[in-house]
Amino acid sequence: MKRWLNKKQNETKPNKADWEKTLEKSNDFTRSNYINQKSNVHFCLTFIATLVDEQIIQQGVLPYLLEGELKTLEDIKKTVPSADVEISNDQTVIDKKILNGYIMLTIDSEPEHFAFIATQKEIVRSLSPPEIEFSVIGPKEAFVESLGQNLNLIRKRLPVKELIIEEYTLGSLSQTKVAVLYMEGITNEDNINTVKQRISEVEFDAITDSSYIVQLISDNSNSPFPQLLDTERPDRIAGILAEGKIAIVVDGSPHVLIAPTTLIEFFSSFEDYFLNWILASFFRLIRGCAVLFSLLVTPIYVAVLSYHYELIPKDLLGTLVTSRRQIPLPPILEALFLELTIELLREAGARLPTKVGQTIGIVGGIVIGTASVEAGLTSNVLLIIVALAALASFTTPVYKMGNTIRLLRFPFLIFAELWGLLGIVFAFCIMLTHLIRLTSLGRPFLEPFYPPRATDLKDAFIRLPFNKQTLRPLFLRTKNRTRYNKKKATEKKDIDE
Amino acid sequence: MKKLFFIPIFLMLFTTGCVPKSIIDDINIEAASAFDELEDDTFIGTVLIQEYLPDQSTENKTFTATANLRRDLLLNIQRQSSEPLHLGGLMVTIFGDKLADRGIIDFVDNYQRDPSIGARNFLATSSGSALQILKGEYGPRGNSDYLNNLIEHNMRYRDLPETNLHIFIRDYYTKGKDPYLPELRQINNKEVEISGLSLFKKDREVHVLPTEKMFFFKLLADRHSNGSFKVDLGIDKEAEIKSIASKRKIKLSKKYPSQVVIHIKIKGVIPEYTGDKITPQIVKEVEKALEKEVNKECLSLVKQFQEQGIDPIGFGFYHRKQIRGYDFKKWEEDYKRLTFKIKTDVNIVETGVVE
Repeated sequence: MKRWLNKKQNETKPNKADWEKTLEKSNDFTRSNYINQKSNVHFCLTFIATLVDEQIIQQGVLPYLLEGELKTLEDIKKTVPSADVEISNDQTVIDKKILNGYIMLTIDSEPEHFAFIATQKEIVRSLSPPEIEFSVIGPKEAFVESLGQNLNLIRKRLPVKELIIEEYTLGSLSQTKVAVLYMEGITNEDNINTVKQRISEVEFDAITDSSYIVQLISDNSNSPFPQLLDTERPDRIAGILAEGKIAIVVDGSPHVLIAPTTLIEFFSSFEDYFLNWILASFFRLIRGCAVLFSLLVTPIYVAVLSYHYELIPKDLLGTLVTSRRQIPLPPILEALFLELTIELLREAGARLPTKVGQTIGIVGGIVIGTASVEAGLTSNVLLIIVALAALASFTTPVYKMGNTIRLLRFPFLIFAELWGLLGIVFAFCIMLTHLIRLTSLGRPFLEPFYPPRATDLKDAFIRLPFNKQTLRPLFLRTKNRTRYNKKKATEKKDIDE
Repeated sequence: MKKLFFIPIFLMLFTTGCVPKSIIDDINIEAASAFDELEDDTFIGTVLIQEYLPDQSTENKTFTATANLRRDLLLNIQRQSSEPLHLGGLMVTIFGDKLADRGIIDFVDNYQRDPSIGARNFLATSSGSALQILKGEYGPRGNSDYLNNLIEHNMRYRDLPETNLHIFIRDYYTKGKDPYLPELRQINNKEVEISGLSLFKKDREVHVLPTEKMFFFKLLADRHSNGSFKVDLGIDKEAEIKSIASKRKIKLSKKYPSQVVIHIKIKGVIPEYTGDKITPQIVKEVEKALEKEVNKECLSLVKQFQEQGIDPIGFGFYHRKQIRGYDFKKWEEDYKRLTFKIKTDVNIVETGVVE
């Protein structure tokens, strides 16, 4: 079956016996013959039982076929109450149609033509609240695994004709449907063309999730930083589409991709837009500090304790020396030991079912933590620092970015051990150089800091109120930069004036 | 390009051994040190180390050694220490009486060159043995902390003018200004106090200002931010002035370069008064009395410095700064002929809540 689906073989004209031979090996391949009661025409239905909805066949197709006027294939369109009926004489589409859940209808009198009736079985999970990007305020809908339902969630939030949805099929085996969404008249043509080109050039056998697309089409696949943002919130997608970005929906994935993105977007939660701008800015700043803290605090601990004891304030010196007095390990091994323990706990917690995961968390946090301090393997000061750093890394609203931050801590640690604070600065320079070079769909990843764009700073570290955000982000080079006309908005008088 | 990128990384990896490591629990951090001179041109030095005990308390540990050369001192002390001694944690350095008379710049110079020593270190002199001060026991937080805090709060809130390593070196190298340092005295093994202010000529101690004069010295040399002073108003009447904030300005004119006018502005609050109700008149009286006393004391101080040939307030520096083309070579002579005028302006802003 796999070989049969291969594109190259498709090009050479497949004979009917060939696809039948392969399909017949599967037990769910069904073919049955019927006779129409009015015209005594013999017809045959071919389908794959696991893909079709039997209820539709029994109630919506078969009764009409058996009792209605049926002489030629054209009559089906009159008799069967289904919108998706197609008559074709192209043999090459047969397998695709059947494997997509259509039933094929053939009549002895017309051996060259086939009719396809849509009877797909849709197994859809019901909508659930977002789990990774949960927000206290705001909509509680999240994307599911069905492309149609996801598009529906987006469409109903942007019911305008300008929202364009283009569909592609990717993956030689998985035949995954991928939809590219953008707003006509707003989104930059170059960006749209780049996405379309990259998506159409994807060569892979099985694309089972949107993360595959991220890795296949991102600008620099060797970077630890994700260059496309994925979200499970339809409201966020509606928001970024209106800003002039592009969304990529992949069938079978509850995560929708956003392109192009900037680094700062990975640290802004969509809940920021539901809160008052002062609160939102405060939370964003906290998150920014948490990221820096998480990245740098353990390396700084190692650097200061190994090289720069004179930086320690005199009141802290006693605490640090006392806590390290019994520890046989140098600071770097101590720190690596604890960091790896925390990573182990996270990994174990992520792989286990929720209830066991909680137990592991308690075992890890309390038992291993206190026991290792009491056994004199790690100092309690470092335990606090590492735990806080781990906690801080989880404040990043995008899970993938949190992983990146936790990974980056290790090279920083090694540089701190080798060269002290100088090493940390050096590692930071390398990271910064990499970030400056990084692009997302050819747009600078570090914008609005580099290249500096003052207007885009309105929605970066802080989020200014909506009445200050009259323009769309500059780096997207949108066709129409104004979100709304401020003059018009202020002209309207209050109801009590 | 990619190859170029790896060069610094490889350099970093291969030069890691070049950075000396000093892991905090594997070194002894000097917290305070004291130096003095023995009879026959040898130096004696004591280094104080804080041993941090597991129950969060500290233990004072001292090492003492003698040497002919300053730089041998640390080497000799290293021989007694179980772990390498590092200077970075230094907070207070005390110079003995004899050494201060002979000159301390060699020791200070060493500090100035070591990047691990902070510029806000305190230097002090001692009346009596400097080494004995470090060997006392002044409370659970450790001797170095005690001495450090003692000097710090007296500088911030009391009559001690601000000095530290940075200010000492600045004054030493400034033409036309002499440094000054607090003087410590050990009362007994458990008590230590600030006994005065050592005034230097270059790096040699010339005079020790008694504590009563320090209030006026601070008015002249530095500024008060939270001082206090008691004013006598004759029999049975005393007013205490608190929260004193002062500023001083030194003015020279090209016309009369030999006259220095010092403006002192004092602001304060009267929280205590032993007489009856404070009327505006009494406030005026207090202001007047304080003005008079400040004028008198400051003038006598300045004249005393002039006689001794030291210049801790920096009149020479002001001459250089404020008179264009001033020939500093003449300063030694000019200083002797200088006349002073002190103008004080006291302002009592508040006399308490109850009227």
